Amino acid sequence: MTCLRYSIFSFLFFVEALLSAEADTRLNCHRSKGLYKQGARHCLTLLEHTTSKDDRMKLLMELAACYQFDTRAHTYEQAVQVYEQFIQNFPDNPLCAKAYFNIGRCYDAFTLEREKDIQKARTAYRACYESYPDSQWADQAYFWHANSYIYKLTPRTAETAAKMLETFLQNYPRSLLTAVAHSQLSELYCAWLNDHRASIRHSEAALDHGIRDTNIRRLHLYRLGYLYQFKMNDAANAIRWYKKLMDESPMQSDPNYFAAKKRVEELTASENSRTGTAGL
Amino acid sequence: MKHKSTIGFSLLAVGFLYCFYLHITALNSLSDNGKPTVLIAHWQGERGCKEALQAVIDEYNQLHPETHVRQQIIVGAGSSFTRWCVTQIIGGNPPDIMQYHAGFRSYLGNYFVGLGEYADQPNPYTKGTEHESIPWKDTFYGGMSGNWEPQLMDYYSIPNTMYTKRFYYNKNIFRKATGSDKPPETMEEFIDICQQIETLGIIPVIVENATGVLGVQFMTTILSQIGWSFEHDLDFNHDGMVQPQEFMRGVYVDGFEFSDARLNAGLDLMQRFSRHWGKGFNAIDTTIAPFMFIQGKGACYFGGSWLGRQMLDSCEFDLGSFPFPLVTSDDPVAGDFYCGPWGENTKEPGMALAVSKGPNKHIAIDFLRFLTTRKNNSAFNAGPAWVPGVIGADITPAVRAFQPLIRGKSVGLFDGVRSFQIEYKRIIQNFLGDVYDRETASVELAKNYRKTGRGDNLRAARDSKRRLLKVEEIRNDVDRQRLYAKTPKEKKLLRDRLTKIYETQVYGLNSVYATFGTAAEVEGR
Repeated sequence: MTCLRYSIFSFLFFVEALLSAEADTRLNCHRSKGLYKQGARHCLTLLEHTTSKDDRMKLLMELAACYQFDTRAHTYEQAVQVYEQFIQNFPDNPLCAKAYFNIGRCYDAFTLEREKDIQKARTAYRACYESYPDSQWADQAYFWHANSYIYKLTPRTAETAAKMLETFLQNYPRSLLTAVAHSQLSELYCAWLNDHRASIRHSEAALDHGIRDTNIRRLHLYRLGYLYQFKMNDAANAIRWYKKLMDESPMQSDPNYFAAKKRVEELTASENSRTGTAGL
Repeated sequence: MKHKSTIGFSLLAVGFLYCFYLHITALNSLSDNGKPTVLIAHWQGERGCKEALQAVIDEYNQLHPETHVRQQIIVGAGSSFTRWCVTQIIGGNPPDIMQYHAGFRSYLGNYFVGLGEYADQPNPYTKGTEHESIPWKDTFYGGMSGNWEPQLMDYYSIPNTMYTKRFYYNKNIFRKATGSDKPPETMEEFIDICQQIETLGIIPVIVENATGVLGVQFMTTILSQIGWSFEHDLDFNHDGMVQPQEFMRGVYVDGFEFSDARLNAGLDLMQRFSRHWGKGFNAIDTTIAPFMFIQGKGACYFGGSWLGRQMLDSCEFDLGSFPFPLVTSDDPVAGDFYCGPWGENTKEPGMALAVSKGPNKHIAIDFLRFLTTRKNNSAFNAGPAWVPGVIGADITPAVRAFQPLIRGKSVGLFDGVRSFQIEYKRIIQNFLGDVYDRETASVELAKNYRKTGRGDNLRAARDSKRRLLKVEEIRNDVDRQRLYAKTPKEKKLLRDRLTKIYETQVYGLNSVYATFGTAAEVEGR
């Protein structure tokens, strides 16, 4: 009898697991094919029949994602409602950090540069990093909060964002976004705040922390060469960074490769003539 | 009557049996004997292309007997090919490798494989060559920059061949006019040769109006030689390039003038050269110009490497080709501003192949790696006499002059500003047709840029922001995977992936926000 009960239980468990796996696959399947509406409809149907807390959480997150990323239907406001529902239904769940973060992203990325939406985004970001400081979204929320000030990039907005990004680096020294924050600070100081020394410092830090994208890495190498040559009047450092750019573009395909090469030649010649080592 | 229907039915039966036989034979030829079969669909019906690709496929099949690769040509470079592929995609049975077409763009994220992680690794088939330790993408001219999909932050295709532009020239006319068929190296030499050709009553350069290939290429090539110094005035973030939003900021906020001496020198040089383009060049179009050249009515014609085979087959004179001449520092018009030669080190190869998501994607990627080794890329391009897209691949002698020139820098100022580009072409036509003098042309350029530049850039920025939204979804999914990652290796991989997404997303957004900021500043004045 025990054996039979055990077998029935195992069988039911197996069927349940199969159905759940199938449902999960179908959930992802819709969105991965760009069928957001069908994905949302499917989630809503399942939500009507699901009582399990875990399943409801998963379904709400997927439903919100279907609304958030359906850029054709432009349903980000519905996504915000679902994320808010998630926070209301499961206030103690750590995934609330993700919900707050995504509410911020909905207002920040999916709307048309309106100040009132950006304000809402900032409120959501703040809720994310203040209420869930240890979550994997805290540093990302802070980073986007800082960047929300430059949705209209001018010297004035760049200054506010730069201040907040400097604080970001202090608050989240081990964040995965450290190199990105340094890279962004270098850009803001160089292009908008005219502080070339700070730009150099942050470009060097970005490279030290390991910029992953080769094109952006090379961009920093060229910027360093340029700033040292034309803004700092430091030929030795300019040559160093230009040469590094050339080394990192072995097939000479970087758009600045030949400009860097020409400048290294010119700078080396002028250094040699200055120190009287020409021909040595 | 009965006899006739018997014959009819018999013929029908024979026809049916024959079709059945053909069907079975075709099925047999496509049979994979249980092996995974990779299908390559492309539209390149040019002579020699199919055979050359088949030779590489055969070699791959021999090397990997456990798989089977085959190709299918779908005739119709544009809509027919795309329609066929999209139907297959939607039907759930896409070819494993498809020649990339802009019509696939909206399907890329969901149905095609992002190739970034492969492009950043060396190609395993290059072991023992100088490409051995170099990322796959860096083995192509331009480092695969043309295959980057900014809205998805990834590469979705692998290039194969190059298209470059050169002056085709009639050596017989050159010899008759100058006593030599040596092509010019500088603009001054070229103009001098043009003057000598004119004395024979022949058009020195056949050009399809100022909005054609040469007209558009001219300013870019000249600016690429005299405009390096624009980075001191207009490249605010000092990445070495003047981006459209930087040019916009320069004009609207920073006081950059279209009467700038470098732009004036470019216009003057263009006008000086256009005196030798033959009367009424503005009325000639792309269908007429090459035929005028083939018929010997002109000494030079500016065109692309894709015309090489046609030119070789059709011209009944001694044919040569040379690159766009250099300005040099001695040039009387633009020499003062000369910075360096123009180049093609960032030129982007074509005939890109994309991989669809499916069970055979790893074999498909492996085949693309095999196809793009130096040796195989040479073999493939030799068939249709194309220029190889892989650096160092051997080039067929017939198209050797079209080999990319690895030197210099490309400078463009008005890229991506669509309405203004239309106005630019109109103004240049009027300028070269002597309706406008240079001052009027400068004023017209400034007036029209101020009228259209803000709106154009805003439109482009909004499009760009919309396209970047796909990255949000990719980032969200990577973040979700991070929650479930178990091993430190898996966690590190996802962390690196997320960081890279952020790097490129933030870079893209900076251009968008710079445009919004400048537009707002202009509006506030």
